[in-house]
Amino acid sequence: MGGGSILVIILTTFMLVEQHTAQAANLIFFIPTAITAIIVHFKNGNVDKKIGMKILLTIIIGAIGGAMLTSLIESKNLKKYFGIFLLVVGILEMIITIKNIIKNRKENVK
Amino acid sequence: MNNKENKKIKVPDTKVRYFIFLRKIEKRCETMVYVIGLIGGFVSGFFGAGGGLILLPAMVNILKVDEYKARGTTLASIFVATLIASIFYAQNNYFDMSLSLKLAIGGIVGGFLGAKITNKIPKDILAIAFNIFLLYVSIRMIFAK
Repeated sequence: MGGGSILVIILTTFMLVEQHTAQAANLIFFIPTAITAIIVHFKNGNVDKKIGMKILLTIIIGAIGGAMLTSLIESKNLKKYFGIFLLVVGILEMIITIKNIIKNRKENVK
Repeated sequence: MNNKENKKIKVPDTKVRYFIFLRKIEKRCETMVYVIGLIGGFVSGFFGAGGGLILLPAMVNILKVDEYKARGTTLASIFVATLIASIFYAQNNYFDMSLSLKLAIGGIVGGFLGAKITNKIPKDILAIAFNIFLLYVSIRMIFAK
């Protein structure tokens, strides 16, 4: 998880590909690499169909809205927005990870 | 006698309270599912990446789905969002086929290697390293010319 964002980051900051092109490349890249993983998850019963169906309802609306909106925004600005998004996610994930580590240590001590 | 009767009444009382508490969480989760889906889908469409970064922690921490199931469900739902977003990206001619092809070849090899070593690396260190990298790059992206 998180492979897609790394790919977009590498393409835009280190290989200087346009933000929109990098995002499109990531979308195409995701499809073949995810198919095998999804099949394995399905076979192992690791897909919650109840929650999955509910999420599908709104995720489709969100994806259409996001994809339509992204074409209206300049690549330079989109890169900045992506940076802000990553910063927020990074801070939140850092808090969750540190919390989990502390929790695990406490359980180990007990 | 009095004590025994009191105990008999108290036991179902706490159980009922617990049940009501569970129902409240369940109801809140039911509406949260749709909100999480909407945000995850929007991010997937808008940034072409990162939907999983939102869906997975949201499922584990808010919907309290077991982590393995959350992974599978996230992957399957992001897949659908990706398919739909790709159609719109294709309409706007954002695709660079030779770049995508090279990436796909690298991705297959990388995915294979990653799956092989995933259990050999301490997850905490990996998560912190990934987060530090995210923070560094995000600041670079925000202040890039």
